[in-house]
Amino acid sequence: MTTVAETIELDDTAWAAEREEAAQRFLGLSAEDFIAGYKAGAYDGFEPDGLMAVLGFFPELD
Amino acid sequence: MPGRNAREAWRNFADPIKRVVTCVDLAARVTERQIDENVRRIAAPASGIPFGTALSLNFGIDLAPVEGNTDWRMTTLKYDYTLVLAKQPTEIVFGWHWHPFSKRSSVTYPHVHVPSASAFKTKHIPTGRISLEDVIVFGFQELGVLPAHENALHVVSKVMGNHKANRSWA
Repeated sequence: MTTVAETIELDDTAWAAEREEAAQRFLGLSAEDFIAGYKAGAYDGFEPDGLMAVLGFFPELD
Repeated sequence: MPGRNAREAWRNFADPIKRVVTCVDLAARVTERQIDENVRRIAAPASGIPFGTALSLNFGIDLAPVEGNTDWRMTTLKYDYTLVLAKQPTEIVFGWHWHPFSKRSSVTYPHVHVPSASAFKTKHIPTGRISLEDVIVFGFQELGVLPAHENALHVVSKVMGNHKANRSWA
């Protein structure tokens, strides 16, 4: 038996929801707060454990 | 696996991933997103995929099509595979990363983080390039993850073999 995972093509709305979930899940922040903090330098020289996983959802920042 | 065009190259890369994730969770889903004109991402849903009873798997792989002399391939631009505690996802157990084009990180080699290793948790422990199949086999062999179906080990082994036979890196 070989099963194949269902694929979800993320439209802009679903992508935004995934970004929100990722920021909350790994950093406990809203996407908006994460972006603001990142741009303000909150992660300069500081890499919380989940940061790179979150950044995958925010390619415009990295 | 290469393809005759960019679309087929993507399908030949993504389809095996869609098979191996169901080896740890029959209900697993994957997401796809066109990041820009050239970069496409395949990932676990941000909510994660159950990985045994205690852990949850997140992954994301960004790829771009590259035309060769006779075929098209997908080249990996970055990956992250993250195992977290299912009941407390901010607690990351393992994180395998490769982000050679990151603007924020000067670490260009593939590496793993083991945050539970306390004082050394921010160190970038070098690894070779890691595939999703490597992480799943690690789960089966070291973390007590049970295959989700009777053919799971065979499927992962076959995908791993095909990947190794066709990848452009050693």
